[in-house]
This record gives sequence, C-alpha cells and structure tokens, in this order.
Amino acid sequence: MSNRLAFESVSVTYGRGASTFTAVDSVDIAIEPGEILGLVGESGSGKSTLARAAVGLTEPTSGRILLDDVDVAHARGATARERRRIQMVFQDPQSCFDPRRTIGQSLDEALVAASQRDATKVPPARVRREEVASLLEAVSLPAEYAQRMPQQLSGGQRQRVAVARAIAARPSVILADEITSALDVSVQGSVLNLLKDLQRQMGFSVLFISHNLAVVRIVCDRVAVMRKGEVIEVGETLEVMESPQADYTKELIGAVPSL
Amino acid sequence: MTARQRLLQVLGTPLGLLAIIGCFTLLFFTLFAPVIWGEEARMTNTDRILEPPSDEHIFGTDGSGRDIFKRTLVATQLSVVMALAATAAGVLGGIILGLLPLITGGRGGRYIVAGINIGVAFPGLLLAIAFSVILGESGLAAALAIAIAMMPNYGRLTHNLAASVWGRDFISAARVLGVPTWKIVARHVLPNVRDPLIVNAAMTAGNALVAFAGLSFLGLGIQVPQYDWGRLLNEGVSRIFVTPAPALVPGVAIILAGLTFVLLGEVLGKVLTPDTHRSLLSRIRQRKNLPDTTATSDEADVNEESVLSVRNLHVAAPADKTNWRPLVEGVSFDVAPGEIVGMVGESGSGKSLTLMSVAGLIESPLHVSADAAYFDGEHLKLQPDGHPSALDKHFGQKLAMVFQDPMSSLNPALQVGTQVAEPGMLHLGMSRKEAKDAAITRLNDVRIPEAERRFNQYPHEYSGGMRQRAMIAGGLMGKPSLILADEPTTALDVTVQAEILNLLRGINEAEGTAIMFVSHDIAVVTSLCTRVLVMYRGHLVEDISSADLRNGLAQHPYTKALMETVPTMESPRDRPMASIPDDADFSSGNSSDAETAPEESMR
Amino acid sequence: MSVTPTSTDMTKSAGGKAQGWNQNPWVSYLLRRGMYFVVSMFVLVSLSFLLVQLIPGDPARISAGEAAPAELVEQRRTELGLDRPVIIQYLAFWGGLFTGDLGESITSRMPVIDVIMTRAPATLEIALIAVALTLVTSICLGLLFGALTRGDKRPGTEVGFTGATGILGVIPEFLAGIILVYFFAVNLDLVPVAGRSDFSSYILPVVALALGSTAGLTRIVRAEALNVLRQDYVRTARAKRMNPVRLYGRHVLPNLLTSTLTISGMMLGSMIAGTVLVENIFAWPGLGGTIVESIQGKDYPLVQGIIIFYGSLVLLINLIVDIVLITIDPRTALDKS
Repeated sequence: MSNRLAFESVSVTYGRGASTFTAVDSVDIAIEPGEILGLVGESGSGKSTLARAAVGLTEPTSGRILLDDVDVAHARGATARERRRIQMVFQDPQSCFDPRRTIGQSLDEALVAASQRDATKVPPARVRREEVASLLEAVSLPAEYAQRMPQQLSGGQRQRVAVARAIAARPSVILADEITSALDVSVQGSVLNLLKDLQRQMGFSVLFISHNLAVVRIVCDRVAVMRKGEVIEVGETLEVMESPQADYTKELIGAVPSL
Repeated sequence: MTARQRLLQVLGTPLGLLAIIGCFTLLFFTLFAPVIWGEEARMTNTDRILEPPSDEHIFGTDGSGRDIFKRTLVATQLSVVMALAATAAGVLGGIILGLLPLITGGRGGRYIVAGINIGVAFPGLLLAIAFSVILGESGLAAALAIAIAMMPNYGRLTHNLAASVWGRDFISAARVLGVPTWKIVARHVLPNVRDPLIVNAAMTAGNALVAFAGLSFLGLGIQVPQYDWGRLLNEGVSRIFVTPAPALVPGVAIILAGLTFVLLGEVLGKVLTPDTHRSLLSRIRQRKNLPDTTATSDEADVNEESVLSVRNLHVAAPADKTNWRPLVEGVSFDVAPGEIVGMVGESGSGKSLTLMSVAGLIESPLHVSADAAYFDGEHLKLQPDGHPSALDKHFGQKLAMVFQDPMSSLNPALQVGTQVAEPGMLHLGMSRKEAKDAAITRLNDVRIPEAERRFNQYPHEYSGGMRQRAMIAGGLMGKPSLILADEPTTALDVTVQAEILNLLRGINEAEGTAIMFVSHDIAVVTSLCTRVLVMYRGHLVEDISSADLRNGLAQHPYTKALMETVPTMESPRDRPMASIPDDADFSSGNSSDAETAPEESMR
Repeated sequence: MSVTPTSTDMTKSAGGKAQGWNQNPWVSYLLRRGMYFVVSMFVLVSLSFLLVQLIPGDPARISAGEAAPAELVEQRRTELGLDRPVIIQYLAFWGGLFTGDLGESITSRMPVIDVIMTRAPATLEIALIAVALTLVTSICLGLLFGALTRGDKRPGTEVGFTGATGILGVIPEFLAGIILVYFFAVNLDLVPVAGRSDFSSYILPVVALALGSTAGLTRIVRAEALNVLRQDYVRTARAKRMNPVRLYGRHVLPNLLTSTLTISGMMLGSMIAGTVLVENIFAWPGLGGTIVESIQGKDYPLVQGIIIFYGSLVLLINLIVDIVLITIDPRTALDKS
C-alpha cells in the first residue's frame, strides 16, 4: 500500500436532461503518498463533491478513482471494503456525531468497522475501550471524554474527536472537508496542528479542502485550485501562492485580506 | 434537564394533571367497565324502552330499555382497543414504509417515496370506505382500513424525519466507515427520530379513535350485537328530536377520549421534544422578574461629537424561571462621523447582539438595557424593553443596516427592487415611481448589472454577492450617516467579499458615511476599519486603532492571544499554528492568571 | 458561522428567458406536477377497478339476487361483462371512463354517471364553501394570533388560543354536526334540521364540516406565522421600520401562504371525505349518502364511480393548491427543479 489516491477524468453530474448540472468536470488530480494536497476554490466549485465521490457518498458519472491502482468508483463488495481506507472528516462539528451516542460509542463503531474491513476478528470490548482511550489521547483529550455526549464538547474538541474517528479506521487517505471553517479562529490551530502531527506519524495522505488560502498555505505541501468543477491549477503551495499562473488564482490570492 | 425531570415537571402543571386524569379514567373504563356493567348493559328490558333521564338511568334508556350511560361506559373498551390496535398497526407499517427508502436507496427508494406521496393525497376516510367494501362491514375490517389509511401519512412523517437525519454528517461518517445500511438505520436513524414519532403516535391514536367512531357511525364498522361509541351514536342520532342524551352521551365520550390522546401527545411532546415545546408558565413568571442591571453611573456622559454613542449596554437571556444569563455586559463605545469601526469576537462573544440592540432589533425573550444612547445629534430615549424608539424615524434616512446572510435577509416572496425601493416610500415621502427610479439609480451605484431588468427579479435569481449589494443599495436610498453591518461578508466567497469590502470603502470615502462593521474575521476587520473593538464573553475588552493592532500594541491579553492565532499569507509554515487552549480564561484581563475554567459547551 | 454555497456569477436560469421551453422552470414544474396528477389518477382508477375484483363473492350473483337461478346469474354476468378476462375488463373500464360510461347501478339500474351528475353538485357546494371558509378564517385568525403572541408575548392569549383550538380540533365533523343540529335546529329552531333548501340550510353542514379543520389549520397557521416572523427577512423589514399593516400584509403574508397552502392540501382532502359523514347527518342529497347506501346495498359499480369522483376531486384540489403556490412564490417551483 502506498496511500496514493488518484482521480482520473472524474465527472459528477446531477439531474437529467436539460437541467443537468455538472458539479465536477473531468478532474485529473492525484494525492501522492504521504502528502497534504490542498484543494481551494469558491463554494460551489465542486471541491466537496469530488471528495464525496471518492468515499462513495456521491456516485461519479464517469472516470476512475484509483486507490493504489484499485478503481473504487461505484465500488461494491470487496472493493467497497477497500474504499474504507479512505476516510473523511466533515465541516460541521454540530452534526458530525450522533447526538444520542457517547463519544466512546462513536469511536468504537469506527474500530469495529475497521476490523470488519480487514476481515480480522473484532477485538473484545475491553481491548476496544483501551483503544478508544489511546485514540482520545492521540488527539490530546482525556480518556474520560469517552463517557461524554457530543453536546458536552466544544466545537474544536469535537473536530479533534472527528479526526480521531477517522484515524481509528486506520486510513490510507483522509479527506478533510473544510474541517475548521465552522470553528473560531482561536481553536483552528489546535485542530490543524493535530492533523499535521498525526499525518507525519502515521503517513497517511490528506486532501485538505478549504476556502481559506492562508490556512492552506501553512498546512499543505501542494495545492490545487478548482473553479466551476474544473481543476485550473496545481502546484507546490509556495510556488502557486507566490507566482500564480491562472488569472482566477491571482484573483483569489489578491482577495485574501491581510492583517 | 433529563427527560425524567421534565416529565415530573410537566405532570405538575394543570395540563399534565388533566392528561393523567384522562389517561387513568380511560384505562379504568377500558379494563373494567365491561366487567362491572357489561351484563347490565346487555340485558334488554322491554318495559322500560326509550325512557327519559331518571334517577335510575341518569341519561335514560335506549330502544331496548338499556341504560345509555352504562352502555357508553362499556363501549369504551371496544372503542379504545380498536383505535389502539389500528394505531399500532398503522404506526408500525408507516415506520417500515418510511424507513424502507433509506435502506433500499436509489430508484427503488424513490418509487416508494412517490408511492407514499400518492397515498397521502387520498384522504384516510375514503381509503377506509374503500377497504370496508373489500373486507365487508365489520369492526376488524374498519380497524384494518384505518391502519392502512394511516400508513402513508405516518410513513411520510417517518421518511421526512429520517431523511433530515440522513443528511447529517454523522450518517455520512458511518457510511464512509462502511457500517451496513440497516445498522445505520437501526443505530443512528431510529433513535434520533423516535421521540417525535412517539409524540405523533399519541395524536394519531386520537384521530384513529375518531375515525373508527365515524365508520361505525356510518354503519361500516362495529355491527350489532356489539357496540362502540360510533354505533351508539348511530342509534342515538335518530332520536335527537325527542331526547338528545342517546346521541350526546357517546358523542361527549368520543370528544373526551380524543382530548385525552391530544393531551397525552402534548405532555409527551413537552417531555421528549422540549425544544419545540417551551413551558408557558415559566415564561409568565419570567416576565415579572426583569434582569437586574442597575446603572453604574447616573446620567451617563455620551460623546456628542460622535455619530453613535452608547453607554453601559446590557443584553440578557432568560436562563431558567427566575434567573437571567448576561450575554452583553456594560458595553460602551463611540463611532465618530465618517469612521469605519470594526467589532470582532468569537461566536457567542456578544458582538452581533451589541449591534442588534443598537439597531433596536432585539426581541423578547431577550432583554436590553443601557444608560444612554446617542445618534447623530439626538439623545435616544430608551423604552423599558430597551428599544430605542426614537431611532425608528432615522431608518432608511440616516441609518442603514446590512445583515449576514443576504439570501435569508431578503424576502424571498418579494421582488428585489420593491425591497430596495421600500425605504424611499416609507421614510422619504417618495411616490412609487420616484422610489423605483431612485432604487434603480442605487442599484446602478452598487454596480448591479442591468439594474432596470433586475429590479423586477426575485432574490433567488440573484447571486450571493448581488443580493448583498442590493441590501446595501436599499440602505443608500436615504443619505445615511451610519451603516450598521453584521457579518456582511461571512456567507460570501473571498473574491466576492473583497468586492463588497471595496464597495463599503467607496461609500465611506465618497459620502463620508460612518460604518460599524461586525465580523468574526480579524483580518477582514483590520483591512477595512480604522478602529477595532474586541469583544470577549460579553465584554468589550479592547478599543484600539487598526494600525496599533497591526503593530502589536494591543493591551488586553485576549486580543494579543487572538492576534497570534490568525493565519496570514506571511505566517511561518514550519512552526505549529498558535491556538488558544479550551480552558483559557481571559476574563480578568490578566494574562498570567488565565485560569482553568470549565469548558462551556457550544449551544 | 456557516459556509453556505452561493454562486458568484450570474445565477443560472434567471427566470428562464432565452432558453428552450423545457428549460423554463415554470414549464418543467407544471409538466412534472401534471405528470404526478396523471400518475395519481392512474393509481386511483386502477385501485377502484381492483376494489371490485377483490370483493369476496360473486358480483353477478349479488346483482342477480341470492335466489336467482344459475342461468339468470350467467346472463347477468355477461351483461356486466364479468365473463371477459380481467385485463379486457380493465381496458374496458378505462374506455368507459373516457366516454363517461361508468356502468350501471345494480340496484337502481340507472347509469352511474347520471347518479353522480345529479348528486355531485350538492356535495361540491358544501365542500367548496367549507374549504374556502376554512382557508380564509384560519389564515386570518392564525396570522392575528401569531402576531399577538410573537416573541412569547401575551402568554394568557396563547393559553386561551391553544385551549380553544385544541378542544375544537378534536371534535370530528359528525359530532359537530350532531351538536349543532341539537342546539341550533332542534332547540333554538333557527335553521332547518336537514335537507337542502334555502341559504339557511347550508349553514349547519358547512360549519360542521369546517369547524374542526379550521381549528386545526389555525393552529398550524399561527405556528407558521411565528416561524416566518423569526426569519431574517422579517428582521430586515423591521429594520426598515414600517407600519404593521405593511409588515404583515406585504412581507409576512405571502411567505405564510406558501407554507400554509403546502400543509393544507392534505387537510382539504380529508374535508372532502368528511362530507360523507356530514351528508349522512343532515340528509344532504349529495354523494355521501349515496356511497353508504351503495356499500350496504353491494352496488359496486356505483361505489366505484363515487370513489373515483371523490378521489379525483381531492387530487384536483391538490393540483390547484400547488399551482396557486407557485404563482405566489415562484421560488418553490425553482427549488424543486
């Protein structure tokens, strides 16, 4: 496993006939092993749709989505299990945990799902409890938080647990969809530092979707710019930020407010 | 508050008591009336037919000399049991029908939903009549018919609730983890839709009871010699010209039983879905205890040089029966003519509330108070609820407002042009025609292309940025000396944000209009504003020029810490990003004793 | 803070001008809505056909009479067309529907269509008057009480309103009818007890039919009004400082109508069905009395015809409501497409 996720001329369209809307328009892009690839663009540009297609929340209309040479688009059965090596962290900390289940139960679900994916025996409850504790520790939260309900956590803490849930599934690739845009700027750093640290330790690849260029500049190795469903520019983060090629990228960078 | 605590609380109210009494009465008669009076109510007595009310028979006797009251009590069992059986079957079927589309998904699911929608269109009574044709006229057939008629409605309710849960991220997360669909439905969907379904089932049972009585009344339900309330009503209604009791007694029984189920539903609603059911009594009590916001200074000294000056502003929300939770505490500030002042803070810091109270847009149950307020040469008289009524006449003339979400701030049912032109007609004495011409000019001013044509369009035909421009155009109908802007660019993309900021800057430069700009985004605020006010947990902690803020001259430790955390295009990439720990508390204004405080949960 | 999707460019399909006819959102909405109506009608007709097929026992035998000799039953069977294969019967049923031939009543031997044509006007009258009354009354009262009790104001009024509408809402139309008859016709002798004669004879049936629905719908309208009053655009309107008439009439009412009509479609359907009960109480010469008689008399062609009549009336009202909806608020049409 090399943790590479590649989109090959992936398109996603909604609707039929005259009211067809192309959300993603033959996108070719690859997340190389162990890198953090930034994906920027305005809302409605197709960033989230692309990510959702990779995990099967949306079906791509055409193209291939390769996870280490396995096409996981329209995956069923064994391939669908393989696809679970791609995990996703969502934008809204209000809705990313079942309000009726404790943090521990939510993390436990991920552990069980990971064992089932790898067709290994599901470890006994006691072992899983310890794993939940160590997951919480990995995201700098006390083990007692397993007993808490999501409502008792702050938005930043919840996003950290969301990262923990993603890594509980021992992923090859994590798709981070605007994971800090609903958070206050003061806690944003704690979540992003955590993601970067874990990525460095565990070696998974990250697709980091954000509309905030300043954040992307700090977090990402490379960056891709999307507009109206198409990727219009890809490159090393600093290169793109300092000498953007596409007009739209220039406009985007010019619009970033400075302190 | 847990569900158990809420239950105890609700049962103590008049409503709860009535519900308990109703339920127990209904239960008692259902279980025991046939045992106690069954024999008596069945025996015919040809000597005493059609008797008027007497001591022996309080509501008289029927055509076979049987006591009407006792027959009504005995009929409780059949009426209630049939209604509950129909409800149980209908609810169960409805839940399965409503969850099925999620489990099958895709095309099959869509067909089921379409089927449910078609089923809902047909009224239950009609379906029940149709089914009683097939199944013959009997109580069981009527109950089955009611159950089947109930399924589409309940199915749709279930499906709507489930679909809204299905769209939430925790379901997506479970799907991405590969949890099987049936398990997601059982583990995540059902528990989250259960409560409203239970509440609705109680109400549905009441409807089933009434519908069943209706069918029996028509002669399509229970058949002789059995009898339920509907059957009794059927027998009694023919005698209504002679004596009302035979019809009214079972009629009243139906109404009381129906009410009992409604009350049960209300009680369950208050216990299980408290967000939508707030206690009325507590609200009445609250009204009498206004928050104690004693003025710290007597006649506060407003700055008459300012276009806006506010002293000691407080906003509070009711916390429980007697207490108020302060949201904004003692905020005082000035906005000079032609100045752009920014107000920043995190969610819940009270920045938007401050702006809304200045505009007089805070409604009950929130409570506003201030020592003094001054706008453009006029001391504002505050009403007891904090509303600066003197401000009313300035809106559309000297004061304008721009809100956060331009989609929801424009009325979706009215043409944009009408909404832009409105202030002209309301406050500037323009005719319809003049207001329209002025509005088109303003729309042009804020660079809306083809303003004339777009005047007649609806908000949904505008893009986000254009909607916000239209909002601003409406504010410019008069000649405002101050624009109050509440997160006006938060919902917009960066490039559009930059355009709106330029527009506001241009208005400020050309017209000398002062702007008070509230935002969570410090970078936006410092790039636009000349002065920055920082809010923290309801307090104004910093009042500083943008230049000083940029140069690191902030006084308050919170401001300093906040500035550290803002990522910029110049931030170092190799160092971890700064963040403020969850438990930091800057309330004391002293950085060294940022105490560990219990983390306040969001919402 | 939330990051809601907004498109920066000119929004697509701005009113649908200069586009193909099938791209016009109005046309495509009407097409879809019409399609839905057609499918529902198809289901309705098919189910009512199926209804008679599912009846236990032999319709020909029932029609000819229990004691009739076997030849007569067979003759009857041929007359009714019941000897043909089901699929042929089904197609013939459709054919009859388009030519206005719904068969013949078993008991009266009159064409079903004639029975419906003579009796339907009486049903339509009270149904439509009651529907109109319900809509107007509940929208006015709901908006009024919504305005009075917004933002938790006037808790006393709210208690009274909730209590009164709650009690009235559980009284079914047949009980309302009986109670009204007893007080206003029998006791006070103000209006006729039953039958359809002059204006006064309409009052009780219409009120009985409208009472419960009005109470229920008024509650819903008030809840919707409170919901609309919480919206950001009402805050915008209040920031413009206008008089209450303009605020409620121009800014709140159109939005209120949208949500209210969406909900009321279903309620109006059950009011139409309620005429069956009310007509039986007031001996109203409509189809409600006829359907009960024909079920008890096992007059299946008539039952079929009447069910199709009621069903299509309900579907038609729903269709009208939806069309009114998109003329009030074009956004609904666009949202769905």
